[in-house]
Amino acid sequence: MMKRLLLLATALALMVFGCSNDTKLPAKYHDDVLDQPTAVEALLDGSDFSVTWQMTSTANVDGYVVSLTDTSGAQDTRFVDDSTATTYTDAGLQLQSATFYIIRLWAVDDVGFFGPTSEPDTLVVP
Amino acid sequence: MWRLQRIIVAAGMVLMLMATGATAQGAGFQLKQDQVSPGQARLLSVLYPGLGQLAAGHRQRGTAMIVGHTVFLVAWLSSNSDFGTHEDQFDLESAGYSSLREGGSFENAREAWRRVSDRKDDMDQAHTTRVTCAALTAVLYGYNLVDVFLLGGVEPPQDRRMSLRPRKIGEAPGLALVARWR
Repeated sequence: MMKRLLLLATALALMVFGCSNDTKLPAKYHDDVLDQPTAVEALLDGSDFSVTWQMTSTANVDGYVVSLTDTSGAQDTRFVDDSTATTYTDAGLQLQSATFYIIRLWAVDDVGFFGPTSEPDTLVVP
Repeated sequence: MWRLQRIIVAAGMVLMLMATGATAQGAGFQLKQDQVSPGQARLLSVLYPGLGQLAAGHRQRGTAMIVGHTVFLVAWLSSNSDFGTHEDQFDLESAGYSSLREGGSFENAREAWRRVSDRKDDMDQAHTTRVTCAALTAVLYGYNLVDVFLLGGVEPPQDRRMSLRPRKIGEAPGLALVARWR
């Protein structure tokens, strides 16, 4: 009886573990395509708005998107068409006075994939 | 898938009816004990596990095999259908993740990847369940064949000391308690 049970258990185990699911996950790309901008700092000097940032690697980078979000949630974006840029300056940006802005930045590659968003920096317009 | 399950269950019921000894004939209910040969009983067991044993008079073993095989078969068909659903969801999420490569964002891709990974885990679990059910079904069917071809599972049962036997009492069907002394 024990031998018979052992034989059945062995056959069962062989069948279960011998038939693995061969479906594979798709190729994971999102962690490796673009680096995350760091050390983001926004400055307002009179009417001149500028942002600086750092990139550990500019591989696959085609440009950058600078995002300004005010307290109402309205978002304004600017595209920087230079993969080596670490600064964006805009003298004609219409910023509302007495408003708090959150500045974020991310890299973009040549097919339009947005990399990880940077940590936010804040800007208060007097 | 459910249509296939219904067909299999219906076929099983027909085979069980073929294997039973009691038949209704004419105006009155008549008890009839058909004696099946070992060859016929083996054929029945090849068609559906337990039928041959049941027809040969091994009621407990035959019933246990029929019930066990039916349960495993239904569980296998259900888990197979469940796996198909998880596979469809996985394919959908994978396509969604891949499409974000062009025009998507890192945050959306990361969230899509988490969903793809979850669907893969669900699919792997469903696969293990269906393979286990299929293996149990196959093992029970294999044991059924070993039983009828090698272990004498369709030989007439030895008379027990005490047993219940169908008997006609007058014109009505009934049961008789039979005791034997040696």
